[in-house]
Amino acid sequence: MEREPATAANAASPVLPAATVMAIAGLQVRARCVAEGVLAGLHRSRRQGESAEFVEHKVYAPGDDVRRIDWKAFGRRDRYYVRRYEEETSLGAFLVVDTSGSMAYPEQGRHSKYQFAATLAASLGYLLLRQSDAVGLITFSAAAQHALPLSGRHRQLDELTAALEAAPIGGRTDAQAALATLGERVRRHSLVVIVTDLLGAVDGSGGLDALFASLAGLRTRGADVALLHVLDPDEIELPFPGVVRFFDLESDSEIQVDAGAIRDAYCDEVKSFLARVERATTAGGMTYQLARTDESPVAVLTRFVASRAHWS
Amino acid sequence: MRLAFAHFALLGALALVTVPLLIHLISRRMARPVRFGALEFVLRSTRRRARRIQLRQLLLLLLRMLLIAALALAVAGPQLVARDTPVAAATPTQVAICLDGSASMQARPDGTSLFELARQRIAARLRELDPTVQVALYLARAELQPLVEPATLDRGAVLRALSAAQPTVETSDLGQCLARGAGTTAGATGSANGGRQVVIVATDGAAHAWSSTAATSTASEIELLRVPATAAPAIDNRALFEVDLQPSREAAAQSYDVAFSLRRFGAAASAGEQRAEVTLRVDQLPVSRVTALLAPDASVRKRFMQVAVAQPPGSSVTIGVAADADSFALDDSAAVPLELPRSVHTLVIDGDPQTVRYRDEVFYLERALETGAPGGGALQTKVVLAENATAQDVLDADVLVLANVESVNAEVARTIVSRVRSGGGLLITGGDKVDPEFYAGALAEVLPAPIRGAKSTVPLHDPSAREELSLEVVAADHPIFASLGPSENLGLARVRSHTVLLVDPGSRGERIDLARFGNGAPALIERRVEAGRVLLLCTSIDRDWSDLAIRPGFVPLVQQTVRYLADALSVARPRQYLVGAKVAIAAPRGGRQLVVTKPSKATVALEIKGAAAVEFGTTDELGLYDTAVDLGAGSLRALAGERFTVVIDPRESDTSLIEREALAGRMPTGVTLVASDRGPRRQRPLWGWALIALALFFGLEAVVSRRD
Repeated sequence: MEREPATAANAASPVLPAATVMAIAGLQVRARCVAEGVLAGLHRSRRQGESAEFVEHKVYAPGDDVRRIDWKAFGRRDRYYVRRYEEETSLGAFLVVDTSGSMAYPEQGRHSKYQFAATLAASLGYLLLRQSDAVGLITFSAAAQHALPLSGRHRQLDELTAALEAAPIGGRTDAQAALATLGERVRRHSLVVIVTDLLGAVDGSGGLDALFASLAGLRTRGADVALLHVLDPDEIELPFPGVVRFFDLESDSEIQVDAGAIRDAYCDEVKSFLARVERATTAGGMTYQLARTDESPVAVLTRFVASRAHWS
Repeated sequence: MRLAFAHFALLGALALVTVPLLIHLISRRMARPVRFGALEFVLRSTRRRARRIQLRQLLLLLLRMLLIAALALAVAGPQLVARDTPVAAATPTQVAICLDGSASMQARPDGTSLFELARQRIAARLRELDPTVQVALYLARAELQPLVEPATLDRGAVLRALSAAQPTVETSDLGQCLARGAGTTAGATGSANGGRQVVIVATDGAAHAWSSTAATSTASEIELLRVPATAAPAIDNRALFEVDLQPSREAAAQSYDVAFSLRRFGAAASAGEQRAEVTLRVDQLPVSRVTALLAPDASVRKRFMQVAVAQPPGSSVTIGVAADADSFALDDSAAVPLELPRSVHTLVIDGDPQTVRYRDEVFYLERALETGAPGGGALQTKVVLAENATAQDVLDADVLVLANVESVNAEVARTIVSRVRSGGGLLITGGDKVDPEFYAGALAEVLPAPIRGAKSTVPLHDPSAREELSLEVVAADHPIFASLGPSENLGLARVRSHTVLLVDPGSRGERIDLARFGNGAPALIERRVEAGRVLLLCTSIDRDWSDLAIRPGFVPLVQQTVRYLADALSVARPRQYLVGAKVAIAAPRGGRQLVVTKPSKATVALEIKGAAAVEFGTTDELGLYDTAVDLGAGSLRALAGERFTVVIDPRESDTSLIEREALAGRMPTGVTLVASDRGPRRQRPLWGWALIALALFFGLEAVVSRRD
């Protein structure tokens, strides 16, 4: 069954406003709502066929399905191995969500970046599970890391949303460790969707380059990598009037500046950063999507899905 | 040139320049806190623009502070003043400032008094002085009055004393400033520190204020601050002075001639004649007016003739003379107290009546008392024979004349004594009937001197060879003689007597010889007996012993004598004194203290302590001083005859300026006179520039604040 490619017109179709969507209580309900909104703008995808052709053994790693452990191999080698099959499922998708302190912005008023990111991740998970893809989740920060194994079960959405809602927000960004964990699990044709603000990598010490190197490593291993870059409009436009004392959400740094005086320079810095990220991701064969939290998650996901027509 | 300010106090607004700084600091403290994720971008942006932002903010802050400073400067009235000040700031200097407080400083040539202008000049000069200069302040009046002494750095104290200083009506001697002012600053600060001592004198420049100069002075310079302006000409001043009051001789009773002098000072020779209207007032009521034309530096003497005073006899009136006002009002008017004489009842006891009238003892006396008296005040005379005189007659009379009376009965004699004690007057005249024993007995208590008997210079063998004794007045300032004119006194000097009463040379208490004969014997003797007055004329009142009765001075002498005895002189000399004079006020017997009421209605009490006269010295106000005696128990009795006026010293009216050369010549050795003839201070107002700077700063601030 052929599906029509997503168009800009589809992406721009009327959707629920961000405030309305984010006001929905319960991440799962919100995710379903968003996903249905996305699906309303897209044709359903054909379910991928299954195959049981054995490819190799893989050393067991946390997150692997214990049911796939090859007990015979265990008997022979006294180590746990997991069987891997060619096109075991149609797709194995890892949702990597940033839970660092910067994702808590704004702490009052509007929904936070993390809430927005979790909505996007849960909605994607719903979409993927709906088409019988396996979905896993890794949340990361320097403070804590949590992994939900790949699974295409019906209850996976419940666990996914529960994990997202229970994830503690705080600490510095540490994507490297999460990507290292992910590297052990990813396989060819896996989909890796990273939902982050990337602000922890912007420290001038080469963090961003290291991050893209890790992502390139995933690509080398055959994974399909997509980056959902979540930013609050305040972080793009710096709209604060007068003198502002900024406190870092991930450290105890603070600085007092005349926001109006540095606004243009700040916007230039952000533009440059966004351009660099987009350039790096595009060059690495990755998908990049800027997700402003003042946009409707539906619109963001519609654009994202449409840009990945081959995936859907 | 140096910078000065028209409103120095408004410079305090410069403190407002701290407002932008405070706002800046407060706004920093009140910065809005935001917990933010993209702090790295903020840091990068700040680092990139930090220098530019800081420069801009600094520039804005500076511009706003300059804006406020320019506004404060503009309202303070900045001006560039030609630096004509000799007091250099480089060397610590002690300054004694003398403010001329003399009467002439109250002139108002342009509406503001010279004293006030001098105060303003001094205040401005104080602001120009370096803060390290110590300042003493004096008010130059009759005596140099220290206002701030010793010299101090406290400008506030000096300014307060300056504003509290008041002009006086006294004269001043600015020469004292050099001696005392400079000496005081030297004593306060020590001259050993090498600082210059400068005396600054703020004055109208009148020559009369430099009556003396110090022989030596520790000051090195004297600086003149002349008001109203350095190069201003002398003030054209017209002064009225020498007001005199005399009874009119050719007119009816209570008519007076009022004379006065007008003089014009300080006018340039080319100023032309000036018309002056002078008004005469009696108790503030205008009664006459004269016009005088005054050439520059000329004087005229004018007279209001036969001014009739309608007030009843015995009352007190004030005669005022006022010229139309000029810029110096203190010498434009004068007031003279006048006590109208009261009626006097005289009882003449005729001791030698004659059937031929002109040979009667009291013929000439009676005629003299009937003559109209100048200045008014009726003289009522009753003549009785000695044997007909009664005690009641004596009691009814103010003055009793015993004309060649041998004796009276004992009751009348006792009554005479008691009447004299209670304030009555008694005149005893000599003659061949006088019985020395009677006088030595019954009237001994009131007799000025014991009578020894008559002494004649007529030889028995040749009556034509008699010696003529002249009469000499030895107490010319006695009220009786003081009120007589020159011709009357000349007439008395020609009196010749050949027989006189001899009296004991020893005095009896308060005896005063008013006149003597050519041989030295007393001719007229006065004695005060409690409240009464007694006169003994040692020759006859008719022509038997003397030709006094036919001399020109006889009539006024008799009239004045009677009035004097009754304490009712026709007119006293106007009692006028200069400011600062000491006035002797006759003290009535029985009074506890004299109360003098000054023109400002302030009263001064003077203890009498039994003295005949009390000296009053605080004549520091111009105008009429009333006097009264406190008789005890709150009883005050006005002393009309002791009223007096205080007038300005005529020297203060002379506005002629002292020449610089003359003044420089009076300076002690080593003292330099500076700035006395400098032109007007050149001032260039700068507030316009301050406003331009204000607009410039405002525009720059707008540009910088909008520029990102």
